[in-house]
Amino acid sequence: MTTPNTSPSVELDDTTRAELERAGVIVSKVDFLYNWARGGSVWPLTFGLACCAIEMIASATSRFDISRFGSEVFRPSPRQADLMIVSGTVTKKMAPQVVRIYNQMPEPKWVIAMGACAISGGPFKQGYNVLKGIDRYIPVDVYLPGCPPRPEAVLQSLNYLQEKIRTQDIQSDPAFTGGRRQYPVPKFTGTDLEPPYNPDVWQPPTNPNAPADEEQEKEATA
Amino acid sequence: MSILGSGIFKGMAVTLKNFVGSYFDKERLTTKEYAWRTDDKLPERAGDYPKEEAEQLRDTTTVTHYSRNFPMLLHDKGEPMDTVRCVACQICERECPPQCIYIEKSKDKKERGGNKAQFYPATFDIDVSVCMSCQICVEVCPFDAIVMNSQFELSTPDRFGGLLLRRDDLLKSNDYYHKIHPEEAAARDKRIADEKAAKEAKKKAAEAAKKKAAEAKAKAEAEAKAKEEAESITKPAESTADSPSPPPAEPPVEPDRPKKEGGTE
Amino acid sequence: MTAAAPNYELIQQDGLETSLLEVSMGPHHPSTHGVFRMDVKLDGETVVDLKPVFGYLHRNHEKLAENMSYLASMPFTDRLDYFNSMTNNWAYALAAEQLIEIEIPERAEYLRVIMSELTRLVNHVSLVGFFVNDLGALGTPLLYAFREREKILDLFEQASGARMMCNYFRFGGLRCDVPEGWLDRTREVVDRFPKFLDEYEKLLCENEIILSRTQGVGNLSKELAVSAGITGPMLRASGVNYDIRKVDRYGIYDRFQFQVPYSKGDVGDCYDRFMVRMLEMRESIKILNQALDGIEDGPIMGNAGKVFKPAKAESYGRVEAPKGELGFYLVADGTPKPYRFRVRPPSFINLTVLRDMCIGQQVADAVIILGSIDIVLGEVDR
Repeated sequence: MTTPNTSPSVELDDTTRAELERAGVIVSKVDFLYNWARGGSVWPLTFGLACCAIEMIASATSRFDISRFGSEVFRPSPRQADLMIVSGTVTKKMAPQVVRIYNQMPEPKWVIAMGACAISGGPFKQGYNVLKGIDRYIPVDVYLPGCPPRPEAVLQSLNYLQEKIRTQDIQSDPAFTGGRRQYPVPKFTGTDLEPPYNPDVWQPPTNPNAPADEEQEKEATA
Repeated sequence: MSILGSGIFKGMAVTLKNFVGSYFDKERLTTKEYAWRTDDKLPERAGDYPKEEAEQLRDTTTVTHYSRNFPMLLHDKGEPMDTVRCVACQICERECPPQCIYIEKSKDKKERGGNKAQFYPATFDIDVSVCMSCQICVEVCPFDAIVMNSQFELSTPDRFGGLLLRRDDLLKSNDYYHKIHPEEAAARDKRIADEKAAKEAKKKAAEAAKKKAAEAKAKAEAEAKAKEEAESITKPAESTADSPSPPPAEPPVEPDRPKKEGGTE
Repeated sequence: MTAAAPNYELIQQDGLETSLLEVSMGPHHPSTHGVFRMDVKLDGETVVDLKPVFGYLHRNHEKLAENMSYLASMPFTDRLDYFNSMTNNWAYALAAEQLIEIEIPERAEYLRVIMSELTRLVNHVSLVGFFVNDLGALGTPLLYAFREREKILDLFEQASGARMMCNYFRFGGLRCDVPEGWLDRTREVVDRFPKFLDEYEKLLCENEIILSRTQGVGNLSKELAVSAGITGPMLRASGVNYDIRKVDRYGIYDRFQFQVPYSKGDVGDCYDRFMVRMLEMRESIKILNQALDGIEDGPIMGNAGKVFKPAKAESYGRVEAPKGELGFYLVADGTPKPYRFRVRPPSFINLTVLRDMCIGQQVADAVIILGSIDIVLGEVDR
C-alpha cells in the first residue's frame, strides 16, 4: 500500500546527490524496465476458494481471455506465482492455510481480494465461522467488490494492479527492500483465530459516520 | 475402436476444426476486447469511477441491458437532492439480507418536485464490500427509489473508505437508468404513471362524492337555517347579522386539503 | 464393498521392510475442486486408506437462514451449489410453498422447468470439462465447455440480471417475466446444443486415454450406492433407475416425454458416471424443446402476499438437482423466520462413499474418482 513515488524522498547533501543523480537516472530506467516486464507477466496462483473461483476461471477462458494481459499462466505452486487472487469466502479453518500459502510466494508478490467474502466476509460475515476479510492477516493490493464480480471486473482489477505496478519504486517498495514478506500464521483454536488480526497489517477502522458531527461543529464554529 | 489411437485422431480433428472455426464462426464466441480505459489517475475510491455515463455497456463482452451489480438511488430531473425519490423509510435497510445498507433519516422535511414535504436520507451508505447483489432492496422499495446499477468497474486499493458508497455516489438520474436498463425503466415508469393515474382517479371520485355530500349537507343546513330564520323572523333581529356569512361547505373541506396536495404527486 | 484396511499387512520382500506413506492432499490443491482435503495412506502408489476432511468452506448457511426472513434466505441458496443456482432456488421454493396454500401459474411452471434444465446443461457440461481436466487434458475440453456455458449464462443474465447468482425464483412464481424475445434466443441456443454435444462426444468418448483411465476405476456397486443414500447421476451410473423428476413429478414434469439414462451393467465406474451425464444432456434438450413448445403467455406470479408468514408446520421439498437429490427441510413456528432450516446436500452425501471407491486404487485415480463424484464445496460444507 505504498503511494506512487517516482523520486527518492531522502534529503541528501550535494556531493552524494550529484552521485545519486547519476545513479538515479539509471535507477529510474531500471524501474521502468522492471515494472514494464513485471506488469506484463503477472502469474496468478491457481487458488479457488468458493463461488468467485468459477468467475476467475471464466476470466481465463476464451471469451474473456486473461492472456491478453499476460496472466494466463495459472501456477498451481505458490513458489512460481506472483499474484494471489483470493477468490471466495475465507473461513476460520481455511485462513491459516491462506496465510501460509502467501508466505511461500516469492517476492514481488501481490494480492487481489476478489468478491465480497474475501474483502469483508460479505453476506456470510454474520456467521460464526467466516473470517471478516483476508486483509486482517495479509496485505491486499486491490479490492474487487461484487458477489461474484463479473469476469470483466477481474480483468479490470488486473489492469488496475498493472497500473499500480508501473508506478512502483524498486528502491522503496517493500517487495524489494525487506526480503520475502512473511506474516505470522494465525492459529485456529476450534472456535476462533488467534490472534484475531495482525496489527502490522490491519487496524480497526474509524466509523465514517461518527466524525461527521465533529466536522459539522467545526464548520459551525468557523 | 479398431485401430489403437483412432479415437485420439478423431479428437484432434475436432480440436483443429475448432481452431480454424474460431476465425470464422461466430458461434465459437471469440474474444471481444475488453480493457479498462485507464486515465492519468487511478481512482482511489469505488465512488470515483465515472458515474453519469453508460460506459460499461460499450466494449464489453457480456454486460447487457439486464445486468445488475450494485444498487443506486434514483432521482428525477433536476438537482439530485431536490428530486430524490427516497423518503428514508428504511424498509430496504431492514430487509437487506446481508445488512449492508445504513440510512439516517433527516431531521427536517423537504419538499421535492412540488410534492408533499417528506423526510429525505441524511445518510445513505451501501457497503459494496458486503452487498450480495440480490436485488431484494429493489423489490421491497415502495417508492421505486432504489434500483440496480450495472457498473462493475469498482476496483480500489482502499478497504474502508473506498468501498463505502455514500449517498452522493449512489444518486443517479432516471435518464441514466433508462440508458442502462431501457426495458425495465420503461416498464417501471409506466407502472408508476398507471398507479398515479389510478390514485388520482380514485381521489377525484372520492372528492366528487365528498363534494356532493357536502353540498347536500349544505343545502340541508341552509334549508334548515332558512326555516329557522323564517321562524326567528318574528324574534328580535340580533342574529340576522351573521346568518348569511357562515359558509356551510367549509368544515368538510378542511381535512381534505393535505390530501389534495398529495394528489398532485 | 471393499475392505477397510486398518491392519494392512505390509509387503515384505527379501527381508526389506516397507512402510505406509501418509499424504495430505489439499485444502489448496488444484484437483480437489475447492477447499477439500484427503488424508491418503499409501503403499507405494496404491491407496490403502483415505480420510476426507472438510469444513474449510463452512459458511453457516443454515444458522444464518434461521435468523432471517424466508425471502431473505433465497439469495443465500444460490451460493450453496454455485453452478446451479436455479435448481437450488427451486428446491427451496418448493419447500416453502408447501407451508402455505399457494398456486403457481402455468407460465411460471414452464419457465421453472426451462431454467432448471438449462442449469443441468451448464452443470454437466462444465463437470465433464473439469473431469477431463483432472485426467490431465489441461484446458481444451474445459474451454469448450465454458464456451457453451457462457451462452447459457447470457440467457440467465437476460432473464434474471445475474450470471451466476440468479435469485430468480419466488414463493408462488418467479421474480419477473423473461424479456421479449428471450424464448427465441433460448430456442436458438437449445437447437445448437446437440451439434456441440456431437462434437464433444467425438472429442472425448472414444479417446483411448480416457477409456483406459476411467474404465474399471472407482467401482461403486448397486448395493452400496443404495445403502449409502447416493442420488443423482452417480446412482444411475451404478445401475439404479431413480430420478426424482419421474418419482415425484414435481412441478409439471409429468407433462414431458423423456427417458432416464442409467447404466445397465453393475460396474458403476468413472466412465459410467461420465457417460450418464453426457446422455442426460440429450434428455434435457428433449425436455427443453417440449417446454419451449408448450409455454404460453400469462402471469408469472401467484397469489402470494408480500409478507410470508406461515403457520406452525414443517415441510420437505426436493428436486432432482444436477448433482442428485437436493432437499430443504423447513420447520415453521408461526413467525416470519424459520425455526429450523436444513439442507440435504447431494454432493455431501455422494461424497461419503469416496473412501470405499478409492481403496485399492492408484493415488492418481483418487483424483479422478473425486472428480467423477461431482462435488461443490459450497454445498458439501454449507
